[in-house]
Amino acid sequence: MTALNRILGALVDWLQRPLGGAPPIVGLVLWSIPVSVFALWVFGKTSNQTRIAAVKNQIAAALFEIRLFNDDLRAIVRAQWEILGRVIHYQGLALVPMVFILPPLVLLMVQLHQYYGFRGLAPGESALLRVELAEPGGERPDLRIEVPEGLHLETPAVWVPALGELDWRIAADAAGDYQVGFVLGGETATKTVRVTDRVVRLSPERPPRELLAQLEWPSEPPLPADGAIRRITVGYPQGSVGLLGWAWEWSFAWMVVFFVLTMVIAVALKKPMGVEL
Amino acid sequence: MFGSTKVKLDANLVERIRKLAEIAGYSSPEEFITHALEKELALLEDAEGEEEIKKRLQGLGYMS
Amino acid sequence: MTTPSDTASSRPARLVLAAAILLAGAPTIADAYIGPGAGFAVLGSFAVVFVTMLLAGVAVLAWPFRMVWRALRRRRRARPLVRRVVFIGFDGQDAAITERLMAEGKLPNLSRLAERGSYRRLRTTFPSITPVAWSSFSTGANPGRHNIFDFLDRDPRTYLPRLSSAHIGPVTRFLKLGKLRIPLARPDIRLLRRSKPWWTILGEHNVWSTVIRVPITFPPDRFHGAQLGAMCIPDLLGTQGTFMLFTTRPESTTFEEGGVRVALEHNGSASSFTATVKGPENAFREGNPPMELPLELELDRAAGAARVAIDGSVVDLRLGELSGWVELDFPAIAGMKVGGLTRMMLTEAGEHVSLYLSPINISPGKPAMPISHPSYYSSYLEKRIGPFATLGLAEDTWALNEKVTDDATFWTQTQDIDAERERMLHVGLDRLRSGALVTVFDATDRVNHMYWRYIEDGHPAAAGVDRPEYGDAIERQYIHNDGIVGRVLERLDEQDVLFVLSDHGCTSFRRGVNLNAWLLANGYLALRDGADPARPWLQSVDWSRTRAYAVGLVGIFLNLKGREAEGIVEPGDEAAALKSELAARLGGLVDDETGTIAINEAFDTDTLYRGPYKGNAPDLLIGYNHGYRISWGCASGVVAGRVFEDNVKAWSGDHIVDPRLVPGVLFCDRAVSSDDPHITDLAPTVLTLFGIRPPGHMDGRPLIEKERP
Repeated sequence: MTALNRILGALVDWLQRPLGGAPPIVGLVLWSIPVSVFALWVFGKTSNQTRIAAVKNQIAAALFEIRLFNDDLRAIVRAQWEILGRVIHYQGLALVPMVFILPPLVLLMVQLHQYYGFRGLAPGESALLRVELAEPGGERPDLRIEVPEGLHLETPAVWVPALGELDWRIAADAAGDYQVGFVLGGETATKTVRVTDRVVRLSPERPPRELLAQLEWPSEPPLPADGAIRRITVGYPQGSVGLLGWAWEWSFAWMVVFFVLTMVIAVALKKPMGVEL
Repeated sequence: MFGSTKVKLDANLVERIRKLAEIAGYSSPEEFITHALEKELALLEDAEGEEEIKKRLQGLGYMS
Repeated sequence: MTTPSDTASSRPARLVLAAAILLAGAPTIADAYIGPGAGFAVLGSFAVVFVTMLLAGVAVLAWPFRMVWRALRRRRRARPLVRRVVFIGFDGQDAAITERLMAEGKLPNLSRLAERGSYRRLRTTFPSITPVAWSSFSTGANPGRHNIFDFLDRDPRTYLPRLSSAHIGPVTRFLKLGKLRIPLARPDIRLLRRSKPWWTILGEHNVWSTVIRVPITFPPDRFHGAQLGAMCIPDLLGTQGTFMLFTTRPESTTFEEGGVRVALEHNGSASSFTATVKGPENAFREGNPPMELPLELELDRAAGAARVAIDGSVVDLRLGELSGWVELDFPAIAGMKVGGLTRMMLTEAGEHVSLYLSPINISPGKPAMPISHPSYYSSYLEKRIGPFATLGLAEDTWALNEKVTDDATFWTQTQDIDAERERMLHVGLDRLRSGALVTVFDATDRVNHMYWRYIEDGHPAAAGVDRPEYGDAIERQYIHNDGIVGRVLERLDEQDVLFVLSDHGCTSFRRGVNLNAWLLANGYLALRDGADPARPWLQSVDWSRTRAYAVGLVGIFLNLKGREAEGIVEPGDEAAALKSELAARLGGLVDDETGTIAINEAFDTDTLYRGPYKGNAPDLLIGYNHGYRISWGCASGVVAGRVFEDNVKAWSGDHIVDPRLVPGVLFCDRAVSSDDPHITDLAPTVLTLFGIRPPGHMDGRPLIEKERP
């Protein structure tokens, strides 16, 4: 997983580099085009196009029937049941291509989430910095934090024994990429913190050495499996997507926009590409 | 055929039409009135061109 | 402690979880992450369910109001004696052939119907042709009351023929924008059949009817029910069926009618060709130029195969095999296309290459003309059963006549259309809880016409018979019809009534009679000096010296003063005398070459018809004997040639004869009260079955007694 993340990360970084200065919506539009083409192509190749077309025709016919027999309540109910059954069938038919589309798309979208889900800290802004220990419930650990110049701690460490967590508020003084260091016993760990106004890769979490966690947070190498520190997170502000002065701030806003964009593009391309959706 | 417009007629006239329509073999007073008017219109309207007619008859399987 | 970071870091976990769930088979959540394809599927499905609910909700809410409205509008409450009445029409099914096959035990379902209920020969209309007879079926009236006397009528102002059943006028009002014209009105398309069909009357009493392909329903009637139009629906070119032959052969001969030849041009190599398919006129452009689609053909001579690319579709063809329906969308202006359907066949792939395209049918999914009621009914059927033929005379008899296609291709075409029709019937029957359903199948008539030469020794057209396997084509068609009846019978119960009927029979067409040549030879018709009598549409006739002429397929018109533009025959005594004289001379007319009587009787339509439209009928109706019919030349207004001539076309059987010679059939699963039923009796019968008193304008009498059957 670590290797895969490294390769994928490098690839996405390279592709994303020219988009760093552009508003998020531009990057999303540009990403959604190849993604739509890919998804459509796979859908066309892996789904039973004939049966999908047939089921859709029958759904349309049943809709016509509701109009045609609008005096006949029993006919309407019958048509509704038919539509329900056929929609389920249709969903079933759409499931097969999803199995092929989903894995590569999830990997890509996790990568994009690092760029568009959050925004970097601005000078003067602070965020929650949290270290989660492998063994909760013990004594307050003797953890030393090394804050580089350009950042400073606003609060002393808060110890939450039940969770095995140490929390700080860390504030940004100047733009830049920083490594915050942690020393616990003989062990050391670092965590990136980026203070920037560009669309760049952010790493809200340095994950533990577990498959799902690495899949979710691919931007930094995982912490050692047998170490005392399990994970380190930085609470970056949520990303926002906007157009013409209107902005939507939510770390998943980009996903909604991306989803709508890919749908629109797919609808536009399905006929030229000869794919039945 | 599609769409229709209402025309006001003298009630007396309509009553006379109604009485005679069925006797004359019409299915309704409207059909009677339509026929009467179309007969008059045919006297006034221009006939269609030959080419137009021939084209439309083309392929009528019963034709040579 | 909840900060933005909590939500931010926990949500992506769900992202991965969603992937896992998706793989386990719950599409909806995961769809949010995959956008196109499946995402569309889910959103689309929700949209469908939403629209369904909305439509259903609106329908349910409006239902009480609709019921009240209907109750207010309907004249009288119908007290139906039955639940459903089903008519299966087999156009042209001949009584004599049917009876013979029943006697041979080959029509078990029809025989069962005859035993359980009744079988009668069904008297047909004068003349015994499809548009007239089915119009009488629909209206219960004689032609004098429904105004359909022939396929063709003539315009007395010009003597030119015109379609008798529908008027399709051009668009005359436009908004001009440079070279572009925006039509400001719909073209004037009118049904010329008059009177009132029984389904309209049933609808007035709130009884539903589904009317599928009953001839002379273009444009469709508007009534409480659904209707798919039939005979006289044009193709996309606006004609009654024009096939195309794309060929590399030099244009040595032209088709007499019904087809166009288009040059197939080499495109760089010996196996690559291009051509242009000319579609309908583009009303948006000055001069109405045709809309066009380029066609490319790649030939594999060794394999006898070709790949045709047209309008984005690629069709693989094998020599002599008809393709399925191919959609053609002709571009009119940006964003507007006119949809059509055609079937293709590679007819030769040697030194010369030829590609046949069937007449381009109006697409039922997006019809360019009103072919159904409600307008979306044809789209509905297309969604249910797939693409289907919409052209009035959908079977391409002319391509076979011109030997562009062959008996096998025609058989395939006919049977495929029959199968489409049967699927429509069952879709209609599935959804008919109460009311009437009628479906007319055309194949029997077409098969009678085109394969008669196989069953008659010495038929002049038998020389072209080269496929002995079609010797029993007519018999096979009747047996197939019996199967259709069987499959419907299985789905009916004792509350339903089934009628199986045909509008006329069929007999031999060995010799053609050119009535105009006879009128010329006998001094009733005169030619203009120096005019070529071979010109069609009576262009050579000197009207100032002509007393009678033949137009259309069934009769003779007098050149009547005051009616015809250049009439010379005084109405009244002179006209009556001329009519009697012609009737006397034509009745019993003998074909000198064969020594047989060609015309049994010439009928005076003044006594034959009753009703307000009888003045539009031909003055005399010609009742030909078996083996005779109007000649091909005379039908298109050619005066030249002999009075009698052999018919050598594949079209070798016909029924434009003395109607008494070609009765139809009538089967019913109940007893019928008449021994000698007429096709006009069916309309009052179906009204009676639904408890409605037949109106006075109907000529027919109910065939079933009023007490509950």
